[in-house]
Amino acid sequence: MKKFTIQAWLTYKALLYWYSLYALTGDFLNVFGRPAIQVIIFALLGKFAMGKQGAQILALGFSVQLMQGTLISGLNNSYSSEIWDKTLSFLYISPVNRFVNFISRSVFHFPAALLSLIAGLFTAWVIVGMNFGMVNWLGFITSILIIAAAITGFAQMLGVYALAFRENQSVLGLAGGLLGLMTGCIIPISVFPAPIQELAKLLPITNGLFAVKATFTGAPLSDVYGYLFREAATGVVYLLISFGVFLYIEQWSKRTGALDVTA
Amino acid sequence: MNQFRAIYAAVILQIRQSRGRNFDIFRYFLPVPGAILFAWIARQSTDPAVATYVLVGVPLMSISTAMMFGVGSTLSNEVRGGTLEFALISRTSMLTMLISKSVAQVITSLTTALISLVTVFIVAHQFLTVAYIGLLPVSLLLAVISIMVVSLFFSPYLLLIRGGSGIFSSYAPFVTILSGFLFPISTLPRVLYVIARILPNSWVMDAVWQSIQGKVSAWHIAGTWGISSVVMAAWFILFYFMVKLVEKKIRVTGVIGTY
Repeated sequence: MKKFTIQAWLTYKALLYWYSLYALTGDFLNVFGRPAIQVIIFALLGKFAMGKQGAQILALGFSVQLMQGTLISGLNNSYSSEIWDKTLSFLYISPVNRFVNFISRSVFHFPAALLSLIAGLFTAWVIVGMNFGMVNWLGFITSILIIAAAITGFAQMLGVYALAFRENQSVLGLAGGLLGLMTGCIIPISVFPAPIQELAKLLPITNGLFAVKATFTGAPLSDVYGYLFREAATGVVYLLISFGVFLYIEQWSKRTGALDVTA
Repeated sequence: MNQFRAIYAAVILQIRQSRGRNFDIFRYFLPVPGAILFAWIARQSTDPAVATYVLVGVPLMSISTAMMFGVGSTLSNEVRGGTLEFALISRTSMLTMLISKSVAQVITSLTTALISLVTVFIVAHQFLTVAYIGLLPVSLLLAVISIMVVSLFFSPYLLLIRGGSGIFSSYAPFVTILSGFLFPISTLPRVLYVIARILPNSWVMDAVWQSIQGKVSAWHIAGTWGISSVVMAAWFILFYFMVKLVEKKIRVTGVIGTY
């Protein structure tokens, strides 16, 4: 457990470049400032186009969506920095348990994502007077934790992709955009054609967001078990796929003598 | 003649640098998901003026973000590439070089702006409803110039604070809000509204909103153009002095790494 904690801390500190006051400021802006500003954009745009009620719905959906930005960018850094800082070879020759190493990368990004969500909800409360009066907190918090875990699985997959392709920023940006677009955070998925709706349910957030919206208006946890189970299963599937690819890339690197596809 | 050659070379260089080593088609489509979201929200409004404002604002926001990253990191990239010294000893002024590069960046960001524009029109299913159709293009042209001036400011600024280009990920949303690309800044809370008035973009976007709504006279809109031009000039003067400060620091200390 001690080794796991050290590993988790070092991957966060070293691979996210969190070692200077300047970087710490950047990290603070990334976790709190950027989410707050993005929520302001969507809340005020919602108020401008849809009125106060519309603004609150958009702000809630977008706050949930903020977690993916923190997790995808953070986990991507924890993999791509291994390439750019030339530390990946050391990982490959070390006897460290691969699954422990794989999981430890997300340990500190997970709470960072939750902080982004809190920053978003707080901003929505300040800017558009988000009403928390009816929230079933147990159900709401459970839904949020499961969504964050499912996004972590998805973000791990994109992170592993960064091991194979150095120039991955556009793909990451598009994947993040896709999550924002198709998971119902802003646009309800009911407006999409049926096949697209089914595809959307294979993404993280989509199923959990039904639970978040229901518990936000006071629905009991028992009403949303189905959604939460599907959200959790989605996360587990992405996590397993990511780990499989993580192992495969190592084998491929050792076989070909190359650290990434473009090398 | 040599100045024109230098301008041409700087424009071509910036276009090539923006394009990157490998052709990456995905990046042209990066603003698409955001444009779809904004257009969908605009479509929910019953007021055609509101939808028009958002439809016009989304491509401007896309240009602004691209310009901030592209132009804002120009000087820092020169330092990293070890070419700033050559830029300094060259007979072409740093000012000419930076302005040329910003023009090039406008050209390259037009592709993504066009893709955003097409996306918002497809999603919103709506044509523009504009009261002063003749005044809107002038307001939009001023908006692009204003975006250029603000982006230019960030180039010496980034170098002076020793920031990396990643810092724009945090700054770009601030500039979007304070510029009023997606909603008039009158929607902002009072404190942000006052801060927004420092940016020329907020004045120009006022002119855009007035041109769309048509609730004020053409002379009033011309007045807004005048104020925005004055604020732009102030930003340009600030940019000029910051570039001079960068030059002075390098020439006096002789060590680029000191700032």
